[in-house]
Amino acid sequence: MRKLAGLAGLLLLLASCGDAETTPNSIRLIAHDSFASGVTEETFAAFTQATGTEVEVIAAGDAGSMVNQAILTKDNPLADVIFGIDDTFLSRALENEILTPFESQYLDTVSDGLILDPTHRATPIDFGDVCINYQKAWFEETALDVPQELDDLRSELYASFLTVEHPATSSPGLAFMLATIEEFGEENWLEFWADLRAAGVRVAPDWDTAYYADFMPYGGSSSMVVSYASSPPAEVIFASEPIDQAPTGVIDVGCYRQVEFAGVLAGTPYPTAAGQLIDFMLSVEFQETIPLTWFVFPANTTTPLPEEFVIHTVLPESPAQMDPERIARNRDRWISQWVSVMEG
Amino acid sequence: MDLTVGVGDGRLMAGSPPNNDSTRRADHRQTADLTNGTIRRTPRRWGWLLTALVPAIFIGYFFVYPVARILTLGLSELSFGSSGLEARLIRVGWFTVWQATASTVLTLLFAAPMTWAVSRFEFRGRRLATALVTVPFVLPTVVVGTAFVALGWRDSIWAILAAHVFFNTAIIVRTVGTLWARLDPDILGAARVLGAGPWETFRRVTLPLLKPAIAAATSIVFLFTFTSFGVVLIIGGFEYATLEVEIYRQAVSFFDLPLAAALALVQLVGVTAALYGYSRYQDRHTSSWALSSDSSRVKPRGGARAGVVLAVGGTLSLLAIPIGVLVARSLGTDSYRALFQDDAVVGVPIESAANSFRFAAVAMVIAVVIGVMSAAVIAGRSGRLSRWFDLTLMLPLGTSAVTIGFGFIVALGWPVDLRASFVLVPIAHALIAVPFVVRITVPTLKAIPPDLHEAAAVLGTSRGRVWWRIDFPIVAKAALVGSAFAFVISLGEFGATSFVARPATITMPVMIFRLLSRPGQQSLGMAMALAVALAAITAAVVMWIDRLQVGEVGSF
Amino acid sequence: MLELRNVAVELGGKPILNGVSLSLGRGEIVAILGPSGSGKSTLLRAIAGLVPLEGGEILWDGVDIATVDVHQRGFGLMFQGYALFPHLDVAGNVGFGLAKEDREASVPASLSRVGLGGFEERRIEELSGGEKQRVALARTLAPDPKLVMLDEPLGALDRSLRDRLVSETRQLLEEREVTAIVVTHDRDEAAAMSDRLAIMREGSIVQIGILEEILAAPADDWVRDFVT
Repeated sequence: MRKLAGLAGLLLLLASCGDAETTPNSIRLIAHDSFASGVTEETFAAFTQATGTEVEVIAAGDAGSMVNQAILTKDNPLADVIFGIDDTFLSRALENEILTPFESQYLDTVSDGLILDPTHRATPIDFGDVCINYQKAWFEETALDVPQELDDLRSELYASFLTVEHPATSSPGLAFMLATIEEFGEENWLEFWADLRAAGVRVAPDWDTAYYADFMPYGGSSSMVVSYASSPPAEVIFASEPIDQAPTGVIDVGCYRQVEFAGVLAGTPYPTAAGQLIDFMLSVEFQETIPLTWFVFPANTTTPLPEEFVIHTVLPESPAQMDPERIARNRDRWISQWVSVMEG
Repeated sequence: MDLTVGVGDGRLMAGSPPNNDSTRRADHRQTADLTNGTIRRTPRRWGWLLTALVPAIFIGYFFVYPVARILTLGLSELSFGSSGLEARLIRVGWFTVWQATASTVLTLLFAAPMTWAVSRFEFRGRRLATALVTVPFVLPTVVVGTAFVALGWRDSIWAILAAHVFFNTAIIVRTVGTLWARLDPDILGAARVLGAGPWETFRRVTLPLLKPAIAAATSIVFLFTFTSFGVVLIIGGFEYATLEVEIYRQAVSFFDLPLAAALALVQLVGVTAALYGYSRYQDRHTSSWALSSDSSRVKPRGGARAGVVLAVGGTLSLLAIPIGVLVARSLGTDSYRALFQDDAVVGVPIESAANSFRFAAVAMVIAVVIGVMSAAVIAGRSGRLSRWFDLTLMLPLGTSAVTIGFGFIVALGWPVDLRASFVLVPIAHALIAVPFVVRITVPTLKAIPPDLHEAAAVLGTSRGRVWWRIDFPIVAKAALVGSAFAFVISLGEFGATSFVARPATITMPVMIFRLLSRPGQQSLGMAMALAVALAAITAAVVMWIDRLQVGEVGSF
Repeated sequence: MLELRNVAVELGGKPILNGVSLSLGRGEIVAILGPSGSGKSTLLRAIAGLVPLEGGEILWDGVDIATVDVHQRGFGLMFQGYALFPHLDVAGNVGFGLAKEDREASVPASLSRVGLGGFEERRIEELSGGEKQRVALARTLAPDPKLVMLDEPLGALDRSLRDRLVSETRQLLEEREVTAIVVTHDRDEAAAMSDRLAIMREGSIVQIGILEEILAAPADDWVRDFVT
């Protein structure tokens, strides 16, 4: 079908002699499963209404798998737009030249800290702050103070009640690891992890397990877990019975800001429509739906936040961020080092 | 040359029963003459090849070709000498092999009592019990994983083995049970009368006769556990890595395609070697004449009754422990009502069942058509070609999901661009399901007594009609069991599609994944309730398919 | 010697045997003759212990054997379809009921007695119908059972083979002075192989005697029609 549509497009192009690009009936958006599973008929309805172009969403596994698939199909792209490249995979995407520049009209609404590619091949759409969450009740009962800095976690008192995710299989796990590197520097970060390990930190393979099996509110034995700043509002919205206080809170230490980008795939026959889709995704109309659908924060700062996101969470003051290129250069080595400290 | 036996023969035989000795032997001769001494059971060579063509194209285009493409792509850039690679490879490879072996043996032992009970005895609730055993098979790994972890069964090899037993018991019960239920009771009776006690009869007669089915079932369990991914990651903690996990890490996290391809090749070679050993074994042990047309289950009496209660009750209660965690977590928050309500974020959760059913139905049809054709090919001719064909069909079970997913996108752009197409989902499911259909159907097909064909041939029936009237009804029974598996495999999604680029469609496992990826007691409750709904639907579907087996198909 | 008293059997809730009584003297051969579905095979299975009794008793030498397990009764039963073990060769089949140490000596002897000397290593699938019958017979007789039961021993064979095997089988049974029950639906075969005939109909024995007696004084019209 696509081939035919492409052929038809080509013929039309030749017929109209010079008319740059026709409006396609549909374009494809490749995304990771987490985003794709949140897409409903309404998600892109406004876009289709405005442009006459349908959006077909392709799910391609996790973020890493998606980027790799896009690289593998660089010469004959699977889709026109890609969404969900995070800062840890950004360099891989840029180095492999799978994206073509597009400067969104809404770019000035995005804070500079999110614009990690000055050539605008990758447009930030949302961000999420990976932070340690804690169960309020436990800290009240034990009369312990909430940790004030990462160093506090070295103590058995805290470390044995903390669950982190594995950086090789979990993106919050990787983010938290990067935060510790930012905090302690390349010389000392492994020592921090060695201390955590000695003090009995738990490692879960992924966020689901960490949160729903190890975290105390769900019957686990950890009072702290690496999650997101947006988790406490979600606890309120998706509580079993209405509550007005989140049972969990965010600790503003060791936070890391993950940014998710969209980009126009190089080689798309419809660069204009692809750009329009990215514009749409950065418009308030779409950005408004982000917090409650995917539990991350909209990149467009003019977007009103849902009430729960204002009341029940704190945005960390200065979350760690790292140059994507530095991540790309070192990530394998860092993970290997982390693994040898934690598994050796 | 036409394969029908001439009308003259029919007249010749008029008045005497077709199954008497001289006709049978006479026909032996005729059949042999007509087919130039080739095999007795299927159409001749061209027919065999024709039947083989469809499954061969299917497996070739959707498995062999994509996997070959991605592996050559990766291996072309391989450079040796990365530090510590060999040591790691040996460690991971060794762990993969031994945990799969241990898991398989334990699953076999765990499933044996239940298999015995549902195969030998007819009792109230037998079908329900068989259906319930199938439930774990379909539950998403993440759901079971959190249940295991919540029970404290984690971070150890025992937890991994227990989870593998939990997921795979159904394969043994159903695959071996299908054959066992139809073992000719007279053969077992003969052993008893000759002085063998129940245990001795089991050891000397039942077990050898069940060998093909046991070999088939264990080979599938071995492959499943050999390529274990989610279980090892979630339940095993981070200390354990199978080749599958390592391939994922290299291919996805590190994007080291050459190394991933090398690992995938190691995995493929290991799986092929295991399957080759198995297929040689399978050739040697084919039972004929040992089956009765219908199940030979009897009502349990005396000690047997206690045994059945113990076997069925014990197995189900052990399997129920992790499921109990799911159920407990699904209760209390009005989760079940929430499944039917319009959630502002995810829509009506239960509506995802419609998508799951659509995919499962298509996957089932593909798997049964390809599977039965393959089984006819495999059963019809022994020899190297047939053996390798059989082996290739099994390979997808032992191939990493990453390899298949990445293979699809590099290979399926031509002649029609199927990449990221809807059809890939049921096709990926069917790749996993075909081996089930084949493994269940082949032993039955091979065990059809040749007398039947000869008897029919004497009456002047053409080969095609013989197949249709004799083989088909028998095959249909086995195929139904296989199709139940195919349907359930597709409902459960497994890992097959996790790396396949596909249109975003909310199936039940995807909805569970989605609910589980947001915080909140209600999210967890709904995810667990949907998992329980998936389990209930599975049990219902399996029971319904099992029921179809009765009556509809004539006996022979 | 064997005595049946009012043996009743139900299968799947359906009565198959309704109070069968019969007694056999030592060394006697009785043929059970009846149309298909009259319960002949079930009767043999009941005596062997393969199907449970709903009522009545089976006595051996005056002792009720209800509590004796199938494999401890020491009876032999040759099944209608022979029920040979497909995974064993001829020797494996014939020697199945023998102690390990006896097999080497007894199996060839048993086989040559049925005219199949040298067949030890043949596979069951390679045998003709007549050969299978003889293997089954040899297998049944090998452990020296105190009672031999043959279920349609010649049922599936052609006429000439049957005629020969009828006398052979009888001879084999007589040589060993074994008590035997032969089930058949063929009157002449029954008469040729046995001392007495028991006519069975719908789960009951309607008449017992030698063929001449039955022919001379059939119990009722049905028996007369059936035997003539």
